[in-house]
Amino acid sequence: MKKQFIRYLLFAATVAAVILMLRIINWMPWIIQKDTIRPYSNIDLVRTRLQIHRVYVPSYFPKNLRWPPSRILAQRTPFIAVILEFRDEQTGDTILMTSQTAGGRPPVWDRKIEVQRVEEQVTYSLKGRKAVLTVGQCADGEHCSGVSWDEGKYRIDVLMKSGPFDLIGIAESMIHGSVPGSEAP
Amino acid sequence: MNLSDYFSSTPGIYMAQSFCHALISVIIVERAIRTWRIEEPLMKQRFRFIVMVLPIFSWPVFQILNPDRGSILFRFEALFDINRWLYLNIGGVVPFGLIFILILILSTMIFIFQEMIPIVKHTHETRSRKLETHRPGPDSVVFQVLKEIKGKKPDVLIIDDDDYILFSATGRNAAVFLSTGLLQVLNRDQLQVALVHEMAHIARNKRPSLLFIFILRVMMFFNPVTLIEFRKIVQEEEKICDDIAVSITGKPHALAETLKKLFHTADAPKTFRVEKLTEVRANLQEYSQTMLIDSRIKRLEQETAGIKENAWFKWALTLIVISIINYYVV
Repeated sequence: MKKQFIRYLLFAATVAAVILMLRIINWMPWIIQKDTIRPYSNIDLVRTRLQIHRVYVPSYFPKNLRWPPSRILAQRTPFIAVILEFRDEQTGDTILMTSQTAGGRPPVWDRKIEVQRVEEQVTYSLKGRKAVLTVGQCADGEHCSGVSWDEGKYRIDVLMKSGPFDLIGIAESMIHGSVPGSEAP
Repeated sequence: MNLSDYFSSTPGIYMAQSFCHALISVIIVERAIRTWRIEEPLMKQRFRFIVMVLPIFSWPVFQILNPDRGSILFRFEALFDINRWLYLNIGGVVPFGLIFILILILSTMIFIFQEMIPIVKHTHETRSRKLETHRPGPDSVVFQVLKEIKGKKPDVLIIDDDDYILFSATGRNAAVFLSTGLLQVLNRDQLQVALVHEMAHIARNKRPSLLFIFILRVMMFFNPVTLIEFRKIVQEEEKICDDIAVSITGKPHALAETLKKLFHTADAPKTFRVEKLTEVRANLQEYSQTMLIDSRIKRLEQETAGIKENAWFKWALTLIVISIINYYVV
């Protein structure tokens, strides 16, 4: 009986060792390679540490949106991606998400906001850029809308728990300047 | 498609996670077998089935349980996120993901050339080649020995050959084949236990679970952990058939002597030595075969063969622990 108990303890020790080993192996690349996806406390750190000079941030915020972003995630490897999340001032729920990805890749974000029932999808001219505007409902039946467009070497996606009017205002405020490549010499 | 795109695609995620899940499973299973001193081959095999089966179904099952399991937040809090390694550039030049892909390709090549092609070849040869065989007459020792064995018996066919040959063919025309050369050197007990061992193979090959495990092996063609574990399961199968033969005949020493006569020839390697690189594979195979035969003989001589163990609780505990850990490995 005592032997059996010791063997169970040994098995528990093996399991603990495996968990510890996994934690260490998981931590090693995090330390070696600094430019894989991780959270940042502010946007300036993303610019300086990852050398991403152009980070697209909205400058227009409806009253209910809380500044600064509640979450900033960014990576340079395997490709550039910056994700910003904003919360509702009163409820604290995430109601706005922006994504900036290089090379036309889709966003790598967690789908906290998702247009589950699409009511309308149209092509929209966003300060001269060809954008795709999607209007519909989230899983909980609330209004949801999203817009995506190409901005130079990046693809920008914005999702919001609201109708399209606030969303377009926010998206337009992320763009400063003319259509990339169309500037006068 | 570049490497990062592949590893974020469904096949890429599946391959990477099933490899990790198999690796964690094999570490815990092998430690569990040692810690709890699991000696019965059938029970050992059941433990090793965990390594074969779990990684195939773990990813889809976990995703059904929690569709957010692949999310960034989950990955941050996971015990292990393989993407951190796959996106790592060693020395800023060689992506670790490329090394991982090469390991999977190598494993696939071994599967094709060492497992699939030999099986296809063997099946083709068996169908096309007609062995010169005859049935033992009523006055032959084989006939007499078979009469003493209870239950349904497959055909036993004699090959006229001085070499020591003993094998069984499974499938619709299941039969045990043995050579006249072997018949001359085995005594009555040794012959009986050898025949029962082969009959055990035929009986076990009819079981759907073994076919199921082979199908799973084929599905995990890319996984090097499954490759090694499947070979261990196959080796364990020999010991299980030894146990069945001993439990039916009650003659472990006769089976040990039979094995010695069949396999312990003068040129069988006792140590693993390599003089030429080209001989590595052949030498390694011969050496591992000798090791397996030695361990079979040892347990038969120590009369530990056939001892039943009830370790289902330990098996279930191991399965639960592995499942929980693997859930947090993405």
